[in-house]
This record gives sequence, structure tokens and C-alpha cells, in this order.
Amino acid sequence: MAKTVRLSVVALSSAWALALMLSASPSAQAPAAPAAATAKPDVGIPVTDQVVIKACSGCHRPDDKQQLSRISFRRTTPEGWERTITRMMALNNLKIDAQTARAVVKSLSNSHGLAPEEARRSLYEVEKRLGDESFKAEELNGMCDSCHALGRVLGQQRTTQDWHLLISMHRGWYPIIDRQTFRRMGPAPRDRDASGRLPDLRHPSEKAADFLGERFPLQTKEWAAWSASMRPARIDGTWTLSGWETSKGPIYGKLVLTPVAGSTDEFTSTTTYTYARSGEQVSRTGRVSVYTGFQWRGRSTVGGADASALREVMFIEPDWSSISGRWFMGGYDEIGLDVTLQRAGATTTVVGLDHTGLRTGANGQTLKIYVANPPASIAPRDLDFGPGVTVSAVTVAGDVISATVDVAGTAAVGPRSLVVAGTVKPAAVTVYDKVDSLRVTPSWNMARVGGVVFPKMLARFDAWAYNNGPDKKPGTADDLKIEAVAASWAVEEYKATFDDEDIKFVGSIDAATSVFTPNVDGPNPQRKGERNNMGDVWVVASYTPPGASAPLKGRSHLLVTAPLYMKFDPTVTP
Amino acid sequence: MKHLNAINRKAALVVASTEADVVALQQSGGGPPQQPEKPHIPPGCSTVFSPGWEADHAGGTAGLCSPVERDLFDCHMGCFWPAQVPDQLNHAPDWTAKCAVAQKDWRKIDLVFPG
Repeated sequence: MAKTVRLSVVALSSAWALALMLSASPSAQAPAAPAAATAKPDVGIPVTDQVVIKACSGCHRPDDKQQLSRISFRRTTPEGWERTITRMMALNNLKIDAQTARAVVKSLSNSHGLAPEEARRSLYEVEKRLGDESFKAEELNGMCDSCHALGRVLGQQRTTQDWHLLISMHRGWYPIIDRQTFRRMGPAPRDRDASGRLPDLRHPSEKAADFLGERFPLQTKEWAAWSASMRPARIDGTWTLSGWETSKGPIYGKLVLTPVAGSTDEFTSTTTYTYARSGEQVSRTGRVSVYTGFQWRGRSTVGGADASALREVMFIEPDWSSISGRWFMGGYDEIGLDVTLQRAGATTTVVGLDHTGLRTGANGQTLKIYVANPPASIAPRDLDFGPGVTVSAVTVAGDVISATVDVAGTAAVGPRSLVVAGTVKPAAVTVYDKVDSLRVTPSWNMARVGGVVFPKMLARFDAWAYNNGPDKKPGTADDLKIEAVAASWAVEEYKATFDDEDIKFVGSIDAATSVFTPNVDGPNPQRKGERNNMGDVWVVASYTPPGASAPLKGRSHLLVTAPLYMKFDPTVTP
Repeated sequence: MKHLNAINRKAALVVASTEADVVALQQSGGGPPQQPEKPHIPPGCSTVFSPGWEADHAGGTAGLCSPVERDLFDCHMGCFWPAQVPDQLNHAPDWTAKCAVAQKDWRKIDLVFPG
């Protein structure tokens, strides 16, 4: 009996000890418990499309509110849904034909997509742009962008519980990720912080999921408004096209969209444009699908040739007045055009100029002005560049107005608007007295070795002439960006390591076009340690302005780096 | 280096590297700074994994594993670079089957498009 009593006491003590331990456990003391533990189920978005239900409900069982597990608790871009389907095919044994997969992507992009405001922050991801991450959050520091661009994350809206499940999915497929970033290594913090609060005992991935659930939730007022009023974008008709291709300069032209019979969100496109610098003319035909009422996904070719295919990712402004985005190709999507479309009206409109700099004290400077709806005839008085700039001759041929202008030595320096036949193009030209410096864009760039097994990733650059501006000091906010200039290009050693002689191995740059072509992939027996042809170099532009005796130089840091051995390639094309 | 003199070849190299402007840029009026102020780490590249895939901590390639083929088996087997290298667990269990010695047989490994 005594023994029994003693055991009971021990058991009771253990229970109390357990209770005390639990009260001090991380989950009990965490400032915000993971939502995965909340009793109230999340409210999702019903899936009503029978095509989606048939394709997905084998695993994602619908509940009594027509919510499919996981799917109903997430919204994302067409690329996000495509990536999920390819993952389901690769890892979850999904069998789906291409036509059904396209239908599912389109349906979910419309019913579980993003509002325009939500999609803007991750445009760089779907437009495949290289650049610095601009979204900063302590909670995400190193969590997601240790492996992939944050754009994959920023293009999604989920319930907090579903963000936690996404983390769990990553941990399941890639167990080492726990040790890499997701879990806290070492002991939990024990001390209260300066304000006396208990330490935050959540693991980094739990903090991230809670943050994402709060910052990028499933239900938002933006989506409520957009989904309620979403309608097919009425974008058929004629658009003026202006754009820029790095190393090749400005392009101007026209794009005509024709609706595909029986569809409200599919179009065929016919595009013609001219490279203003070289005069090269391009005609393309293609097909466009519009997702969620504003996301243009297209593919166009020159005469149907696959080698000329550009994938088109564009954002249609909700007022349907303009469309902008990027058309791209290449092994790493690195070759591309920045494109803007404006609705072509009935009046004469300036689309762009072949160059934008006008030098003071110089006569006979020529400009080509690309216009929509050109006037039948034109006289010097129809052009107005403001005081100090005199138009001495002007002709019009097709969509191009050719003007010759004289700029007085006393003309005020700065950006000028241009008036053509009564319509104004703000900041169309920059009047300058002197080119003070040269800057290379992008200020850093990346290429990848390739050509044997893996594709090469090329790098291209532009050189921009700058004037010091009113304060006469370089590198200040008032510097005037004059125009892109035809520089001479070279690579020089970037001294990070003694005697690595990177410039001998990494590849070469075309002195005239700025196109950097990296060397081949694989170990190089000619290099110390059989290292790859990777390395850092400066890309240096040299340009001698008119009247100057010595060239100006500008430079950009180029990383020539490793290939990707695996490529997730989600660009939704029609 | 005003008050120091190099006394051996290595020190002379250090002096040479500091005295010669790396790209000998001469801007009129001093010119704007042309060197990025901070290292630029490409999006998706590592700041935590050491070194990163495309860039090291300093935003350059000096700290990268090179030749990368020397370490590929490890990346593949351990899923260390799940977005850059096919992983043995999930996407490409046989990726290196034809590649007995990566440094010699690297041409036999393929680019993998998951899905």
C-alpha cells in the first residue's frame, strides 16, 4: 500500500514537473504561436472549375465548402501554378496532359491569382531580370534567398497555416535545409530582451512563416476588389511600341493585337519595330494569353523560327492604357528587350528618339524622331525644343521625322520637352555643354561559363554619358544623364586574388557591341588547380566625347560564374 | 605605402597592386565612383551557404569552389544546392551514374529540368 502511495506521489510529481516543463517549453512561451496550431480552420477560396477539380482532387480532397486542400489556401502567378504542377509531376506522380495543365494554370490564375498591386513586387521574377533584391525583412533574412530569388516568395499569398505547410514541404524534400537555414542551431535564447519580454523561441523558419502569413495573407482587400471586378482586358487594336535592348539601344514600332475567335483572353500579335541606332527592322508574329485580367504571357517569332522566339511577360495596367514588361530569350533568359506599349490614338504622338543628347554651341546636329500617326507634311515651326535650339531642316518619311538642329552656345543645360505638331513629349532631349563622365549599366553583371554541356550565359552592357549638372560635381543627384554612347569595350583584371589572371580565362568582350561571351564550362587543365574558367573582371568602356582629347572611362564588375545544373523554367507561354 | 619599402618579391607585388589603379580610370573632374559600394549578391544566391553558388560573401568568385566538378557529388548527394544542382533524393537519383569521376567525366552529366 505504502509502495502504491509512493508511486502515486511520484507520478503526480512527474505530472507537475511535466506541466512545469510544458509551461516553459518554446511553444508555450513563444510570442506568437505558429498558426498551424490554431483550432479554427482557415477560410480558403473555393475551387469550382470542374477541370481543376478533376485534375487535382485525386489527392487534394474537396471539403463541404468546395475547398481543395492546399490549393484553396494559396494565390499566385501563372508561373507559380505552373511550377507547382511540374513539381507534382516530378515528385508526386501526377499524370496530366499539356492541354489540361494549361487549362488548370489559366483557371487557377484567374480564381486564385494575384491582384495587380500584389503582382508588381515580384515582376522581376517572372520577367527574369537580374538585379539586387529590394525587399528587405529581417524575418526572411537568408531563409528563402539562400537558394532562390525572393521573387518566388513575393509572388504568393497564403494563409499562415499554408505558409507553414510550405516550409514543411521544403523540409520534407530537402532535409539538409534544416541545418542550412531553417532551424536554429545551438541553444535557444534564454534571457529576456532589453524591454523585459520573454525571448522569441521560434525557429527561423517559423518566424518567417508567421511573418509571411501576416504580410502576404490569402485574403486581402486588393484581391477582394480585383476579383470582384476582374474582366477580360480589352486590349485588341493597335499599340505603339517603344523599348530598349541593352547594347543595341532603343527600338520603336507598332504592335497589333487581334482577338482569337471564341476567346476573350487570347490574341494573336503582329509586331514591327526598328532599332533606331542601326536601322535594323524586325517583324514578329505571336500569340498572347492574358491571365487574371492583366498578366500578358506571350511568345513571338520571326517567321516561325524557333531560334528567334522571344517569350513575352508583360503587365497590363488596369486602365488598359499601357502595357510594359520584358521579352526574352537565351540559355538563362538573359537576352531581352524592355518593352512598353501605349494605346495608339488618332493624333501625332512622339514614341521616341534615336538619341537624346544635344550639345551646346554645335550646329547641324541630326535627330530621328519616331512618331505614331505622322503628319502628312512638316515644317521647322512644327518642332519646338525650347529656347536656344533652332530647327534648320525637317522632313517626314513614314513614321520617322528627321530633323537638323542648331544649338546656341548660350542654351540652358538640362532636360527639354519636345513639341511635335502640338503634342508634347516631356524630357525628350537633354541639352548639355560637356560630357563629364561615363557610367556603365548595369553596374554589375553576371555571365556563366558554358558551351560544352551547359549553355553560356552572355552579359551585355550600355555606356551612358553624364554631365555634372548645375552643381558641377560628379556623382551627385543633379547629374544629367545625356544619352547612351558608342563606347569601346574591354575587360581588365579585377584584383581579388593575386595572379589568378582571370582575364586570360573567363572569356572575351566584343569591343564594339559590349557583348561578353564567357569561356567554356568544365575544369581547365591550363589553369592552376584545374580551376573552371570562372572569375571576376572589370568591364571597361572607353569613349572620347566630341572635342575632347582623352577618353573617358567607366566600368562594371562582371562575375563569370558557375552554370546551373538544374533549371526550373516556369515561363507560361500560350 | 609612403613610409614602407618592399623587401621581397611578394611585398613588391602588394605595393604594385596598391599603386596601380586596377583599371587606370581617369575621370574628368575626379569622376563619380565607379566601383559598387557594396558587394552585389545576385538574387537567389547565397549569403548564408558558404561559399554561395554564384558569388561568395564579398560578391565575387574568388571564394567559390573551383573546379566546381570536384564537389558536385557532394552537392548532389546531400541536396546541398537544391535550386542549382539536381538532388539525389528527389529529382535525379541517377544523375551521376555515368560519371565515375566528375573531374574527368563531367561531360556525361546533364542539365536537368525538374518535371
